[in-house]
Amino acid sequence: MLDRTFQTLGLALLGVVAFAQIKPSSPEPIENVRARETAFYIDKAHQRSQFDGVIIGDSRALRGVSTEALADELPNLRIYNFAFNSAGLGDLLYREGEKLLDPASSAQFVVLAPTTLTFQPWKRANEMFHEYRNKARDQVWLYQNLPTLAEHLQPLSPSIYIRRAYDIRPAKLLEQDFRPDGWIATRQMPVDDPSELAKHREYLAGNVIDPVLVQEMMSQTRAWTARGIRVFAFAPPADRTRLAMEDSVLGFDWQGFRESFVAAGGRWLEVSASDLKTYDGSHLDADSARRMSRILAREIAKAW
Amino acid sequence: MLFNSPVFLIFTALFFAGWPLAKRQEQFRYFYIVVFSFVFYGWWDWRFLFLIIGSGLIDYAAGLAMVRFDSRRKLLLALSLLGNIGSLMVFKYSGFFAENLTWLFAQAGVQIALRESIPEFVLILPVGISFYTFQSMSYSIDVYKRQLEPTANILQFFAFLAFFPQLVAGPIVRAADLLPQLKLVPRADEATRWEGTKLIVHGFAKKVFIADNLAFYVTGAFNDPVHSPSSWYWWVIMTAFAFQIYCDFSGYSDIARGLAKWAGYDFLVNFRHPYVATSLRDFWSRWHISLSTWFRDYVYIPLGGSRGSRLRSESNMWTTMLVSGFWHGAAWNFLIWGGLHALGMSIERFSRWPQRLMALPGGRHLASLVLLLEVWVTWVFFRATSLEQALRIVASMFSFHGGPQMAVDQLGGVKLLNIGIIIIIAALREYWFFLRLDERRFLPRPLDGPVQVAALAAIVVVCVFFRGPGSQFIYFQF
Repeated sequence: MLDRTFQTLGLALLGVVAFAQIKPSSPEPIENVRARETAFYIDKAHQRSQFDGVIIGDSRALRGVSTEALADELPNLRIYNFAFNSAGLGDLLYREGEKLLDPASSAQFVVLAPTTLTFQPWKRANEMFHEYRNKARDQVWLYQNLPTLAEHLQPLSPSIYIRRAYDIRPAKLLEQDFRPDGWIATRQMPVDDPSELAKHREYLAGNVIDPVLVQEMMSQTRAWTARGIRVFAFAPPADRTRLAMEDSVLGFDWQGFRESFVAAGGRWLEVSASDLKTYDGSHLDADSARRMSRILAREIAKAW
Repeated sequence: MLFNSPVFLIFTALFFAGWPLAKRQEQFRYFYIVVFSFVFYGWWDWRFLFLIIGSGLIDYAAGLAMVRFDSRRKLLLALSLLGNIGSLMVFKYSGFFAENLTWLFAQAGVQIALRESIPEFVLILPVGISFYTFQSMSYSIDVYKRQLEPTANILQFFAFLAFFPQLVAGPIVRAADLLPQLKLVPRADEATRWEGTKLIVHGFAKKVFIADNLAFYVTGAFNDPVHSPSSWYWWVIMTAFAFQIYCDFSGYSDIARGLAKWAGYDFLVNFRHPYVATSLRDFWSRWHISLSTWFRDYVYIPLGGSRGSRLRSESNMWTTMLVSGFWHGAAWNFLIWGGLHALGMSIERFSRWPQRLMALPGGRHLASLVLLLEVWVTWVFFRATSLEQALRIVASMFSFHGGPQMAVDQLGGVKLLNIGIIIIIAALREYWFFLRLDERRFLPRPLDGPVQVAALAAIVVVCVFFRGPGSQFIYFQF
């Protein structure tokens, strides 16, 4: 008779194959794309392709800059969105972003997307980048080479059957479409209530701007400019009330910041449109991100 | 290499594919274990292999020299301890001491940055250093005390020291237990292998289903704490952490024991359902048994143990608990964690509250509940990222601020549902043993075997599809 260990392994293998066929989908769209999300961030943190230009910033750039829309307006340039959630603009992202620039390109450029939040001292750690850069080698290999298998084996939330049985749905549904060029087209239904701003104020209370991070951006701009890399920057649009609150709580002097950036050799881009919509006051929804990116592309072309 | 990684599956398959042949010849058996174990460790960072080899060579040589130069035993033991404790001090504690000395100097008005002068390489904590140095030290001490015959076979020594199932997170295996086992041709019959399989599958379930799912929420709560949390919020999170750390660590030990059984070896039980304990003393006889007995045999008893005055005995216990706390991590949090356990045990000894409570009807449950409250609060210090955060959380737990509904709002309904499901499963698992249901047979014998196979296969499927976000085993950092 077959060893019980092998019987268990055989039965488990059959069980895994069978369950992969019948596993339920989640009432929450974000849970159905976890494997794609992991593959997306692993791809970003281990990106090996090279481009003419990269976008560097936090979640406002990650969800707000559609590189597809940029490419429509700037068809001869290869552009990658190298932004991460809760990113801090600092040496690490500059160094890693620059590695993505094709040395053979005669049109190397960097688009920085600073927000007051990207200069908070704790953002320097860039935890999300490290989380995905430091994933185990075999996990990286699996997601890069066998993404379909990874998707079949995508884990489910422990409460999924209870939530389906009792039709428990979250108050907000977040849909994310992970694009190969580093952008996440995002929608949320319903959009956040403006009263959530109060929570954001509480969250920001006690936070400060790290002047060293601001200085790093200026010195990096000087260094890139000296090497012939064009450096653009723009403030990613968000809800005006929220932006005003962030500026006042964190005490950021945008005028002086822009002047220092231009003095360092950078080209400041004004990107604004009155009809851009955010889903949570902070991040543009997919349609607005496309519109804003077209405006951004035209501004880049003008300032080139 | 993580147990819960695809590469480990390949590694294990390769090891056990060659094992039936490799184990037959003694020298080749040791060689085979050493090569696989070094690959296992080197997969993380091959540079740190030199540390295991270096620390092992010191103890191997010290052991042999103690027999040859009997009059110099004490000196040789001192050298061995210096080598082991020295490597711990350099690689684990130098950053801590540098930071604290810098702070002390700063109080005296002297500005120096000691941490910055430490080479970056030294600040990397080698995985499992606290485990293998303790294992290595116990070898020298046992030889010194003439309780163990040193081995002259260097391959056998390194097979004992680096045997991959327990290398990076225990259990801390004593040379007296493993060296004799290694010498014999190991035999693993079907029943032994089946025991191993059960341990491995249950270990994985503890790690990837319970611990990893809970870790996701616990990490979120500690890294991004909510503003003005309800007391209930932190009690829920700390309950989640209590089961996370227990299942993470005991899961690792189970997998290690299971792998050893597959190879034909036997490691001692490392966890015996600690959350059904009725006092801290009882808790420590059930939690990380290989470490607590190590501290008992190599720190507490040499200090005098419970001999001498009551004060002396208390002082020995406090020293042991503080050292044990510091073993877990180079931070004040861990020292305080050890100190709080010592304080709890002192109170137990003086007040004898567990015995008094257990004498009452239902007292066993009550004593267990009081113990859990103690352990939950002390876990705050273990998990917090700073002392300030720990104190804030404990204050919040006892502020009785907000009600359960506030905690539901702060945690979010779905999150709470997920945490609740896993905690209930983990707790039921514990109470299955508390009620001694594991000793009862529920099915007739002919059905028992197939049902066990099917149940274990179902657990594998649960592990695959309901696993939490993969993370390292917590005890790797020690």
